[in-house]
Amino acid sequence: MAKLKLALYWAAACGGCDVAVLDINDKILDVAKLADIVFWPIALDFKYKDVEAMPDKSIDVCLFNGAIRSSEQEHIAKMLRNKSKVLVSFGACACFGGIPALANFTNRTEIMQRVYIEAPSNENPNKILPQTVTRVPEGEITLPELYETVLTLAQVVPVEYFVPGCPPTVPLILKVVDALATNTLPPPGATIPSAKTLCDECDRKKENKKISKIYRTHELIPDSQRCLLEQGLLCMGPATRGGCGLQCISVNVPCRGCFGPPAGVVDQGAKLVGAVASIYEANSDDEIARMVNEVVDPAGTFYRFGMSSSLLKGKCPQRT
Amino acid sequence: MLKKMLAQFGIEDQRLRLSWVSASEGERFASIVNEMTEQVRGLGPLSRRDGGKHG
Repeated sequence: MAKLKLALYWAAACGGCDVAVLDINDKILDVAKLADIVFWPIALDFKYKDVEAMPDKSIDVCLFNGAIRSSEQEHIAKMLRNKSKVLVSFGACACFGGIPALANFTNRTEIMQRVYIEAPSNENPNKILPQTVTRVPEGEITLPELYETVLTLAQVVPVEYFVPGCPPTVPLILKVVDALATNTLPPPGATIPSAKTLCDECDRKKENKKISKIYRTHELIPDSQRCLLEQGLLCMGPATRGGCGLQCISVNVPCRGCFGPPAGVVDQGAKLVGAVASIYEANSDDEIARMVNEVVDPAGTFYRFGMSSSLLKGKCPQRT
Repeated sequence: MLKKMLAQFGIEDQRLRLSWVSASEGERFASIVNEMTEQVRGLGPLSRRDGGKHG
């Protein structure tokens, strides 16, 4: 079999997804046996023009991590879509917006103001903001445009597969590599891991699903055998896709939701609010108010990774 | 909790109302629905993000 041509790209991401690919350690040699990597900005010195010069559909598989929030990212996403036979939305940011999409609770103007003017580490007395086009004596220099709203990859281009996770786990990456090697990829549109929720896969003891106090993770060292949610920790297991190998749960840390919604659920955050509110045990308005206050940032907690793919996509713009 | 979260989304609190109505209180049900409909109509459509460059 001819070697596959593989590309990897990062858009609005932290780099963790790329590091996760390197974390497969010696298996990376199997990947090298199986595929020629034709584009991988974090590791190899290929340029955009090298990709542009490739014929359409000449890349067999592209693993694309990161959300889309700039004109450069959208441009490269479209280019890699055209050049690739199979485009994989890789990691929570590409799949659901991820942490960068928490920016959807604000907007471009507020972000610019905070980052370039208000941040205490800045020294910017002339309040200079980045411009997409700047004229200098030598000519024009350009920067990509920052978007108002952070998008998922699939909101910009069609995608064949979804591999969630922050970052995708090593066994999950190996599953994808194995499916490529043996040509046993599922039908397009599939999300690679389990269709079930994390709770379905969790082996902790579940006894009494009622809570009367919410703890933040630094306020409690939980029992390592019992359901974390029953102990008052906000665990996103009820509305998060399984298949992660219980990585956080097994070290006594509640799920934060990075595998996104399970099959059949559109809005992960709304499901989570419903799940948590339904097990509240409060007997008076005061108790309810106290418990609501114990969840300091509900939107940021329940939509930590799922903002872009949620129904509202972000904070509604105020009418003027 | 939902009310607190909707505020973070910039959704006016008049758009969500929780009332308990017994099956025998038909008139009360109708008047609450009418009030709510008028209230939301008064607020007008919710402006939502379309996503992308400008939205």
